[in-house]
Amino acid sequence: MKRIAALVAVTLAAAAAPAWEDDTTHAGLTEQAALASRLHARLQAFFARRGGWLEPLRLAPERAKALYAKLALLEPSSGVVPDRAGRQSALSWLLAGSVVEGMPAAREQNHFYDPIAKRGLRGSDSAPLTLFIQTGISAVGGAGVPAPDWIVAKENDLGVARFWLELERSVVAPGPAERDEHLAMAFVSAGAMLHVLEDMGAPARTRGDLDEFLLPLGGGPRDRGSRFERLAALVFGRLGVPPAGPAVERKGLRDYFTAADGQGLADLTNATWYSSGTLPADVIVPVSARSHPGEIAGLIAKASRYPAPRPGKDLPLAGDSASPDGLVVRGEDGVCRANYRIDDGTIHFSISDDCAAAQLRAILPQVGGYAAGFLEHLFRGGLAVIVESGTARVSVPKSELQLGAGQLTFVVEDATGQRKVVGTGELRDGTANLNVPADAARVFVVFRGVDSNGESLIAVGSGAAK
Amino acid sequence: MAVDSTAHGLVYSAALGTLPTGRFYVKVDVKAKVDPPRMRAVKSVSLVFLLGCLAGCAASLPRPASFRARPDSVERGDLRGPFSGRVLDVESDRPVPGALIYASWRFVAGVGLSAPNGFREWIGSTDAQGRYLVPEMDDSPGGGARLADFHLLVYKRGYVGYRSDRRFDDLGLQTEFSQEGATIVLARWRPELSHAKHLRYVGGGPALAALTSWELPDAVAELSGAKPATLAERANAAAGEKLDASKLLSAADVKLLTGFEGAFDAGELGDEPSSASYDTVHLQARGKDESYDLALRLWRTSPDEAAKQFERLVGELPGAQTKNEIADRSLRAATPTGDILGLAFLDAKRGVVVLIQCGASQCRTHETVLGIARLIYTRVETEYTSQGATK
Repeated sequence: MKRIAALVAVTLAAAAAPAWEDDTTHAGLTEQAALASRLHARLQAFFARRGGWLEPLRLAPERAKALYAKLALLEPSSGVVPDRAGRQSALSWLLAGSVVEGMPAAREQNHFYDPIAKRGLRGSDSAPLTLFIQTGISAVGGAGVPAPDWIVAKENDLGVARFWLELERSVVAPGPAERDEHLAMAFVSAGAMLHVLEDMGAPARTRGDLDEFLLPLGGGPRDRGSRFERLAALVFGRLGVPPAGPAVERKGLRDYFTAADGQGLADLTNATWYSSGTLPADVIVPVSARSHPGEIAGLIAKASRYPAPRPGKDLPLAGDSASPDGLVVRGEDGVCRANYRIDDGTIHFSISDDCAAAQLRAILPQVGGYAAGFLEHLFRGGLAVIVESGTARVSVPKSELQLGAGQLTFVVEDATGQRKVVGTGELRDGTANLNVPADAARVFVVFRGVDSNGESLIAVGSGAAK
Repeated sequence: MAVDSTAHGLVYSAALGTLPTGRFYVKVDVKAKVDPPRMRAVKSVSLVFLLGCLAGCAASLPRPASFRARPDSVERGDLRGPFSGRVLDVESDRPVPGALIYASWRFVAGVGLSAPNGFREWIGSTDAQGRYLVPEMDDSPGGGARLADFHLLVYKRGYVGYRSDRRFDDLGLQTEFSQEGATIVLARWRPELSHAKHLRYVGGGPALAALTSWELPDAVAELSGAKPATLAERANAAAGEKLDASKLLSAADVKLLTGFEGAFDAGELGDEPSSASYDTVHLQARGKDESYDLALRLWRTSPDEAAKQFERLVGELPGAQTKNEIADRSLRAATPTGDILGLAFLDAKRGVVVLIQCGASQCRTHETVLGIARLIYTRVETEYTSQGATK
């Protein structure tokens, strides 16, 4: 009996709830972030990729079988599936990474971070009893690595270490086909990390709210998930995701998730928005409330799991209760935080679909801005390479981030597109020189080290030799 | 749910119709948690009920469709189909024949999660009357996959594409699509429209990548800051100078010479942009693998450069052997596995080099490829003058 019970539990437990839908919202968020970033021009200027975001990159199916096994599950018109030869644009590879980070669903367990408790998914939450009886769903999620740690975790095959490795090889590998493959994988890794960051814009992900992911979605009793995120997919799809806000600049990768200044995306999401499962509990309106408006605010604070958001002290206790959605709690920006209605002297909180849609219109551009900034951060290093009289002079342009300690690798490309490493060196006073071989058509330089903030990076530059 | 008066609110409400009705509301008690021992006990008791209902619970129900069954109906459509309709030109109201109809069904799997878990697709084209019929999807990837979405895409070069889920102009929700009897009106492509946006709109995948490759150069330029109208003016100015390889070979020619009975999607290879000296034709056999495809590359330049280009092919093509059986010079080539056969020829005085690469299922022998090359060469002779001569 125990074995049967265990089998059923394993079969029916929801391994983890997804955040934004992979091939709609995530793809759309990542696409908007990419278009809002300056990466198109940087790919052309520093990587000598004339097509920029639309540079065709071929990654042969036989060279990345695990990745293609996931891509084979995706609808081709989603814009992230390569053609039969394994070719699609750099942008599409980035989107592919943001989609496959959610596959299999077990990876999603690593996309949670509660900045108040400073932890990810614990894996100890059970589904409500009634739901278990109705549907057989016994739990949501196992324990996971907190999202900010996941992107640097050793067990993450699409994390930052893989990204640096592939990015470096995309410049120093000998053959053009090989370099294309490495650049495609660099974009897949970057896209996967963007997925993790974008999930920090989903309130339930930052508020330890697993109840949110057990709501009915319409495809039968067992079609359960986050209504908020399904709503995002229905209203915006991939193509209609609002444009990203201005790219957000942060000092380090982790700062995009959480930081002491409270400006990480998870910090802001946690403090700004309720999720359906972390709304204030019902509050009984005391008789004295009408003469002491602040009293209600205090009671609501006590009934809340998290310190923010908080309704203002002037929460109206009367209004258009005939409205199907009830009254509205708004934030300072005027956007709906929650609905409430007062029945028999008790305040009940909820989030109506209209309220959720208004929230999405505010959240998605903000998430896009963080993702655009994160992407620019990954590709922030740039070098100038000028070849004159057989000598390549390498420098860090004033407009670029200044570099700290690290090693330079000099690479030359011949007329057929073959490259070879011709030496290594260091920047001295921000410059370095290289004697260029006579048969070189182009010189590439790769810096691997840290920036002036001590954050890891790879900087790339190139210049025509003839 | 309230329908607000803004346009966005109406769109949003239409989308929401696919979700179960009711408030977005979860009753919360921050203190109350089911204590594990009691939970375990009840779970054991409920196991009997659970096992009994498993078959019913496990049945994969498609999600509600966001489109109507028919244009004149309020009945909700069925994601499984069948789908039918007619594609018309917006200006003339006449049917658009030969438009690509790409239908895809998206599946998700898992309980409480919605990870993508496969798809089904159907590719066809409109008939002479602009009509299409997509059969009902009666297949599933299995493994508990649930049907979550259906998308229909219509594409024809010279027109703005059409998606059943989104409009092109504002990327808002498509509200006109219906399962049966749909009227899909294609707008003509206008120079001021953005190719970058259009490529995003159409999406990718094997069936579409080749068809849309001609839009890539302009899309790249747009992302680099060029305005679509400027690009169009430049393209118009250069149009008279560009090579056009499609004049040399059509899908019908290939079918005649190889006996192939299926259909081709014609496009460009997209390896290099078309120019005054280079153009390509890519014929992809619909619903078949690459071994049925054919690629034609055409270079036209000075006699010296053409000779050098031919030499480059001799050096680079796998298994290249000079044969000189057509034009001034020619070669045969084949991949080591023999799955792609190649043939190139040089017409030095016209500065023309042609390379044909044909999958072995389409062109079973080099003789077939040679037949295609001969046909092309006759057209080269009439199409292009000798360098220095006047036609």
